[in-house]
Amino acid sequence: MIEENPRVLVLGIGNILMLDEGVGNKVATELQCNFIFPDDVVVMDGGTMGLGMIHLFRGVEFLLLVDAVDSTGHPAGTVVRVSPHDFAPNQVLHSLHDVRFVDVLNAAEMIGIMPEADCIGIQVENMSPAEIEIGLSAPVADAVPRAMAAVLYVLEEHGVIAEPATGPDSDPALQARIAQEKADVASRQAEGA
Amino acid sequence: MARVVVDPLTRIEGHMRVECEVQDNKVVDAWVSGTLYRGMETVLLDRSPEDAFYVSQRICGVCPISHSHASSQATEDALGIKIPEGGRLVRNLLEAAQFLHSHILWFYNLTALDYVSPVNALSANIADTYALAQAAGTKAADFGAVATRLKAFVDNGQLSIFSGHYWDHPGYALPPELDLIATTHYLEALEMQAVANEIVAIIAGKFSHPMTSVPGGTAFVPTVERLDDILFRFIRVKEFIDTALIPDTLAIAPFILDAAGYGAGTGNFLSWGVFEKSSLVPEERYLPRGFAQGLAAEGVTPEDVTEDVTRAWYSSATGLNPAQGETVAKFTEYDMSNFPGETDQYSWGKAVRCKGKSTESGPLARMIVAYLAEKGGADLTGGAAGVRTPAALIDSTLEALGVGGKPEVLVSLLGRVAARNLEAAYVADLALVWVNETIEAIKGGDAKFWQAAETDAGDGVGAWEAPRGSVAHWIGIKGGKIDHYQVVAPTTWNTCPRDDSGVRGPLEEALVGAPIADPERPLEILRIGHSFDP
Repeated sequence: MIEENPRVLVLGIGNILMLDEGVGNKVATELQCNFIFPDDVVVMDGGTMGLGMIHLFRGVEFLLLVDAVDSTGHPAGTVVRVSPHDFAPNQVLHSLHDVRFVDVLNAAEMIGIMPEADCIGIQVENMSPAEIEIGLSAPVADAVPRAMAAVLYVLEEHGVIAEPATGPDSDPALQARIAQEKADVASRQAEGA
Repeated sequence: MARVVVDPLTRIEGHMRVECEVQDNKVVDAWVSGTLYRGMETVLLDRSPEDAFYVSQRICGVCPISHSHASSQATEDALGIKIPEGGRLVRNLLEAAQFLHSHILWFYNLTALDYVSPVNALSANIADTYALAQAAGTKAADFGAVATRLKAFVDNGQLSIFSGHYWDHPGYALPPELDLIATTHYLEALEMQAVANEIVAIIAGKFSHPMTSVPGGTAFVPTVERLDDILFRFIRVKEFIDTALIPDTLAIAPFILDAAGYGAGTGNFLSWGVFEKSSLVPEERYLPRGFAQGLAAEGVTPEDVTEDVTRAWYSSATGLNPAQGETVAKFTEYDMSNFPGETDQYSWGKAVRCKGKSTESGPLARMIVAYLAEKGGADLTGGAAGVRTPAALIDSTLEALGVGGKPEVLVSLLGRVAARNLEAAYVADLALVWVNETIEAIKGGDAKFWQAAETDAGDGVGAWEAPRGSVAHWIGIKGGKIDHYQVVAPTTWNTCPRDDSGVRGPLEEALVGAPIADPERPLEILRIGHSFDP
């Protein structure tokens, strides 16, 4: 039982019943299985809680959102880094109750809950199946290790070093690929700078 | 004459349509349509009775716990199981958490914006806001900061979560300082619901999929540590109710006194009873079972229920008790332009009746039934210390609003709003009592939480209360499989269509006679509709 909110919260959100919309949840659960984080960091699958998430942000210094994004102009599976406030013009969270994440942040802000926020987004291929359906498209599934690497990279900017986990749910091959992806992210960021 | 249509009626989800005939700024007729077929009863046939509480709770994403309790009670009734004391206490705690979550959600986030204007709050004088809060017994918040942030959003043209309302409607009549206090509480309520839901999570798993109230009792065996986690959350929620919900109710009421003059409904009230005592007798529940015509109390049983389907989209026989009930869907079309045409059917809700009467259920019904029981000499709480009983809460509220000794004013829109909030105060007080009882119960280490069935066949009913109204599940079990299942859900009572005799449902009846200041912006329809928490 968490009695106090952590300093850093990594929150994967989305509806796993809507194909690629569940990519944020997948990234969060894979991070939980494969990495050990310091005590002041929590990785959580936020599902589609909408406004029910506000209390999770109280006292949090840095909130890293992981979510499906669309209309980025990039191919499916592209991992992007955006400010959650830039979501405003394009509704991102297509939950069953259609609460936009920017509205969640706005409501939190009005009662003084204002964590620094950043977002890792994954461009979807399909998050509007005709019938509810679980599963990620091939390009988005392939993006999961890159999105995880991006999360770890951003966390390092905030002084968080995650160690590979060795438990029964961990996957050494995946951890190795993430290490490689993270090195790529770092070199691309260096080039960009 | 003009038709005014509100569809969907609720802010968050759809599934409910209201159509009114308005003449000279007054509603003269109304039709309420449930627009979504559910079919849960059909899904359950041939399954194990242990599945029923999982599956049937999906009827409602706000009151799944009440459905799971009604369902498990139906199976317990059918198989002759008496739940042990530990199971009773844990279920009371779980149900209480859901009631508090639901009532806070309803008042602040689903209906407050029918009365409170965040836009008007921008004109508030901050010093006056603090003075008003202090006078009302409201916990002080940083009202100035909320106003500043609110203004920044509005200046950016972003009303965000406050968009989609008739903010320039003359019905928004609160002083801006009260608008600011209530808007602040709207936001705090979002956080407080989560605290209530954490109690649910501790006992039953993540809301809205409670997993522990299995037939026979509960699968949650509490420890002192867990009960401590639960207690501290109940205390937080109770503090919010005492320093925000109740003061806001009393502060807002004087500005909407016209709402005491309409929206009464049919004046027949049902409570199946909720929150079990050790006796497991429904008439002795903390909110007891009973029926009332106006303010005259009567007894009631699930055998008093019938469902007419003449105006609903079903081809099964009309007038059946759910023990013999059928669910055979037959959709025609929705066209109310020439009602009452002989074939005009307009809802997926059956016209449920109690003793043949169109009957309201929900907090107003429960509080009236409890009030009448107390006035008749019943001791609802067994003398538990520190609990404000329904009669004490109602009498003091009537007194505060200058209508002391006149409980008949409860039968109105304003009464329905107030009753829900007063019930929240009663339940919050009781929750603390039950946590302490549970701590006592587990001290010896031999508390029992679950009782096995000794047979695999029988018929039963579980009649219970959800936050928004009466819920009952009927089950028939043969050879360990469900061979009959019927549900009468809370909203079926309140938003049902006309019956075979043409008598309107409670919401339809509550709408007739209501003033409509501006048919283009039917705020009063929203207020009345939302007062039933559909």
